[in-house]
Amino acid sequence: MNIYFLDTSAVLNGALDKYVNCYISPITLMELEKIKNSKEKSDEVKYAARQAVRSIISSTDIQVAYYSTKQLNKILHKYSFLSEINDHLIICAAILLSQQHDVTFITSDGAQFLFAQQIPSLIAYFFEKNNQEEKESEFCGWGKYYPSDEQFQLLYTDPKINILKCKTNEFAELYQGSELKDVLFWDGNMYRPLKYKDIKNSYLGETIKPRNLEQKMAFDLLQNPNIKVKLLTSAWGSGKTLIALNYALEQVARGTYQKLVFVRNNIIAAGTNDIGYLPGDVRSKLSIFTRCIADHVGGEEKLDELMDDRLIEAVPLSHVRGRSIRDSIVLCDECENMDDRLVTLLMSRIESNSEIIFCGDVAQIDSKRFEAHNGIRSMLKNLAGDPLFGTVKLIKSERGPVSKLCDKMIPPQ
Amino acid sequence: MENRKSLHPTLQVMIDEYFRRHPDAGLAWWDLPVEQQPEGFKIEMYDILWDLMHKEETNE
Repeated sequence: MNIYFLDTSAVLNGALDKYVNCYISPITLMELEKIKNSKEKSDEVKYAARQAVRSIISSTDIQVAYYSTKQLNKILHKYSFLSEINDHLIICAAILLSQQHDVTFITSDGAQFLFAQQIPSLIAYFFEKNNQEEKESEFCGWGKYYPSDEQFQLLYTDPKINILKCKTNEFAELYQGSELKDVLFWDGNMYRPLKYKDIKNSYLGETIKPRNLEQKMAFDLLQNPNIKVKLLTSAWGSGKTLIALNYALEQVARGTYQKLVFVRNNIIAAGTNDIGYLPGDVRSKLSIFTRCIADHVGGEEKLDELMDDRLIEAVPLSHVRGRSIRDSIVLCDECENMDDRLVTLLMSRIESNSEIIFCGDVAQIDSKRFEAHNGIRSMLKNLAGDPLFGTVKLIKSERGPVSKLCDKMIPPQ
Repeated sequence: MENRKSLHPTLQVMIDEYFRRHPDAGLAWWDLPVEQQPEGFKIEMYDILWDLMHKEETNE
């Protein structure tokens, strides 16, 4: 059986929440208890220690591996580079456990990691606290899980038990050690395998295939008819608009919906100057924003034709108040430039026979006024786990090497 | 009894206290897999630890 042995540093960094079927040493429990009552440690560390002790005592998934001093002595005798300090006694307990199980030793301490690497019966893994992830602590639509062998089996034999405690409409990446074994989707009632089809763009005669795991999850999410509010977030050039737009065009071409309604808040890129008033009617004014659609339907003439046939409609966000959007698939691009009020305004226009897809990236907010109460963050905070809401965060840039360079300029959030 | 060389004083005191509370427990189960720890063992050991540390604090 594969199990995870966490040292004190990993526990304090939140590894207990990431791994199922964990073991710790009683020395870790003592250290946590000391930290809880310490006058020198920061409130943040003391809070982490309190939370950890609470989890350890209350959870049946976390075991404390008590060993006699006789057994620990034997290990110290065998590995002369280990001494009688707390850190090494923790490694000793992991070694004793590895006599019965396959043990992955998880630590956030560099020295502990190097020592554990020297033990042939242990797989050493360095656990890095993802500060950004903690800062956001937002639902991204998928999570990495490390189930035990028994739990792994249970996911398939009894998929109606939410053993991983996933949120409704969450994808679960299942790992054993560092190897990805499978991806399942918790729909609120049961776990099911990832399920998607390639997207067909009949205007260009192209087939769009997912290029990475997160894109596969995005395909699955978009093609899920039970989810009516879909949010794709991502880093630069990871394909959110391309995937969402082609899916929406496919649905209109198939007749699932009567039309595609393309909505954008007409905010210009931060740091640039407005080019001033543009001549013409609403459609021609919006043409600078609808060019991305034209690229996917075979040019601006074809787009005009589809708009004339009322198969595609472009609407500035400022014009949606009072509308009732029926039998349509609504695509709201660049939704990072919307606050929670604007998102609510748009969602309140959607009737039951329609669905809405939001695409955005909080790293690309173009106006400071959308930083506070940002629409994306608000959706993630308030709608995560709702059966009608689903999201996938894409993380890999697929546009090209130049687009990937953006991550070096401004790290993704 | 145990090898009395104490690698970790607090751990040893905890173990001794457990056996003082449960004189009939026997030592053999220490060599069994961790999963076979007696029921409630984890919580009782934490109680012992808590008492011990609380006593240390009071002494300080």
